[in-house]
Amino acid sequence: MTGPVTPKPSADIVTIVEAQRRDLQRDKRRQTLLFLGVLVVLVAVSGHLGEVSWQKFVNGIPRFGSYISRTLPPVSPETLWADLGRWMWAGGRWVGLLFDTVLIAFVATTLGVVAGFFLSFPAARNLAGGVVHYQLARRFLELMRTVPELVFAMLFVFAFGLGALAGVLAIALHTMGVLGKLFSEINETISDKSLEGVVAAGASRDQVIRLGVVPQVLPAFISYTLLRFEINVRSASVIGFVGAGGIGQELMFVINQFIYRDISAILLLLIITVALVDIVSEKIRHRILDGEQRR
Amino acid sequence: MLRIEGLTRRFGTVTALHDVSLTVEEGEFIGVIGRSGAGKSTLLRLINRLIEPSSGRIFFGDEDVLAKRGRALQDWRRRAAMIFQQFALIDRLSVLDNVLVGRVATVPRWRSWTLAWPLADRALAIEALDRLDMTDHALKRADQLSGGQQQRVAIARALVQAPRLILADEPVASLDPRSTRAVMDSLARINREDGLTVLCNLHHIDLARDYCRRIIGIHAGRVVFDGPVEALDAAAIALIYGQDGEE
Amino acid sequence: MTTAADRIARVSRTYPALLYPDPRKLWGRRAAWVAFVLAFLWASYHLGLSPMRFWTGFTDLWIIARQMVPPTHNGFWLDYLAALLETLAIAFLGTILASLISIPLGFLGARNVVPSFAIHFGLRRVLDVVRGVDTLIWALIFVSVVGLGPFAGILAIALNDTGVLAKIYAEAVENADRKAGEGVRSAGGSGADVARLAIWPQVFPVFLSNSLYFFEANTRSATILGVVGAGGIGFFLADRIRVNAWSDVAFIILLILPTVAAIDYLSRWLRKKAIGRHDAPGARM
Repeated sequence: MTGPVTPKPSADIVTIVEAQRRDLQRDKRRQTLLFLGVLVVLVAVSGHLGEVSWQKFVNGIPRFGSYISRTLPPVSPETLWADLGRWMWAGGRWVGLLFDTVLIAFVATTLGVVAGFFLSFPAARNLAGGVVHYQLARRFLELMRTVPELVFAMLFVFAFGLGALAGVLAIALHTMGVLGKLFSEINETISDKSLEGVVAAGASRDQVIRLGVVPQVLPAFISYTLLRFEINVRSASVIGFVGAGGIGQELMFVINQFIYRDISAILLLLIITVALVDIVSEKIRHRILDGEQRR
Repeated sequence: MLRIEGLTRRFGTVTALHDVSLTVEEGEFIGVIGRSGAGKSTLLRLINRLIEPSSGRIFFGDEDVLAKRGRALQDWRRRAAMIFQQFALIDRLSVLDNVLVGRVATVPRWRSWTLAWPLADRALAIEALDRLDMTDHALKRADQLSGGQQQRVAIARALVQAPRLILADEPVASLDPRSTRAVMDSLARINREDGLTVLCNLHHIDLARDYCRRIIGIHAGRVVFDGPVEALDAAAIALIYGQDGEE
Repeated sequence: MTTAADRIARVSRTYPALLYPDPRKLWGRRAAWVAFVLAFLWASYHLGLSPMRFWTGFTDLWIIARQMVPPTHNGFWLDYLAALLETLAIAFLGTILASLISIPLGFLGARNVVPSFAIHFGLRRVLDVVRGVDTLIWALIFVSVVGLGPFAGILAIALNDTGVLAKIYAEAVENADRKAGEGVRSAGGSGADVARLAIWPQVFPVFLSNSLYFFEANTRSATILGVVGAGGIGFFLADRIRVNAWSDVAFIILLILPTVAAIDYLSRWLRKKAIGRHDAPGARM
């Protein structure tokens, strides 16, 4: 392909390459067509089920544009600060609610991690005490992972009343399910051979886990935990839709009441909060993992 | 001191160890030799109870080793310290903590969970490392050491277990010749100075000749030679290593 | 035999630095733990979480759990099934739409295809904003824009996924083997030729595999879109919870769980197949 440059050879080479490609893919083409056919049928059926029509797109997209533009505050250079001040008229309260949102994510992540940590050992094939423990732990984690947080939140709002408790418990249960499974998969990468030294020294089962397993899996656990915390901040921003605390309730109110300026103001603050949490979490993750490498 | 009677272990249809009986006296340095897969490793693992026998009995003094459960079993494992071919250290723990793992059966649970080892145990571990010339590396992570150094850490861990017996399963098979000497010398010194009984699986006859006073030869799961190292003649070696696997 | 005290005294003379753990590290770690526990307790207090409320609520939870057995549908099972199909349709169309939008955005956002810093940077910031807002918030907004129903849900999923998928696609394009691109370029191919001939075969399996993965995740999120009126099974779920019809709630949850599990399984199977099938031609190029 990097041969001598003679006048106008390039088109030939491209055609040769194209021809070769065509040869290679000719037998694949039928399969690809079949795949596309199935896809088209599925799209058509789903489109029917989802009540989609071109008309809706044609009408909807401009309307989304005007919706967005209506949420933007009028800002002129002369009265910049006054305009911004009017836009963020309830800024203090919103920041407080966002702070609560982050706290909900923090408390829920902590609870979920602790529970998921302890369940991840019976849920790991190589560390479970027996088939019964293993199956019980696995199935339980699976259930907690599959039921959406918002469903838990709705149930808990009924049981515990409106407020953050319901949200914290909902997110904590889901986190336990997700992290418990991830942790157990990390545990399963530990070879029995590396644990033999601890077993043969006379350690009991929990000591084998503490001394043999935990030091090896901890960096990965911490990394996943911080990632989950970032996700949980996002979840905590919507559990207020069902009355389970955080910024969600206020956000739902202003969207449903079409208070356009407040929508953009709250969303801006929310995006900033999420970005800040992501940055801080990333910093911590890098510091812990680097420290682990250096030691 | 250690009495083994009719010990048999089957893995599925394969009999790894067949009707082994032997007696070990206090302070012996015994080399267990044989081809790989002959059952040497199975024998040591059975004694430490890492695996369970299909039949047979093991006595230590008048204790029935195979009857031990729970705390008693953990205490037995502490007294029958194992050393492994691949060292079996925890890579991400410091050398000192790895040695202190040897104290796990003797400390309260909260101490092993928080790695808050008693001062006396730390002193014991440091002295063990000192005997093996490893104190310079005490605070390094175990995976930063060479193979020979890791094996010496493993020996230190065995020492702090305050064992009655050291079961070394191919301790030098993964090491270069110089480390091999260092590790075998350490084992010999421990045997000499502390009077600790050592059972050492070895692949090489030469090493067995240099370090062991008694040799147990295993062929295809059976003990085919058991006697002083002087009695290990060409005929015995042929029996142990076999020209081809009969039986 | 030496006593423990003798041994400690001896080692404290020879190796004092080893005998006592580094106090700075030790107390640093303890302080960090205490700070963490205090932060946790303060946050719990600030949020009004109290063990008392937890226990009283627990009895209510027990009542719910008891009333969930046995699950019933009260003759609504056909409606539930239809809503479940609608949920799948929302997830599927949302993913397709997001993938179609993300393909051009992925090439535009890749540094090796579009060298303009302004386009690259601007696009990524817009995607960050789209991604920072949860799907459910977008769903609520789209309900305001296009009205109640599954269409709002489809748009919400498509928009949120575009924020993530376009970024992943762009990274895949950037990671595509440069040598293949140089080969086509040295043969006189234009930028578009490079994209079509050299990069596309390599990134297509990555695109496909990620889209399948997102379909899986979207099936989960689509089950709750109905809570804000954006279509699917979530509408019935929220409604039955609102009127405390717990046995119906249990029935719906029992419908959702195997559906999600089946989609997980299908997606994993297809992903394995997609990667296996498209790997070879990309490598041969």
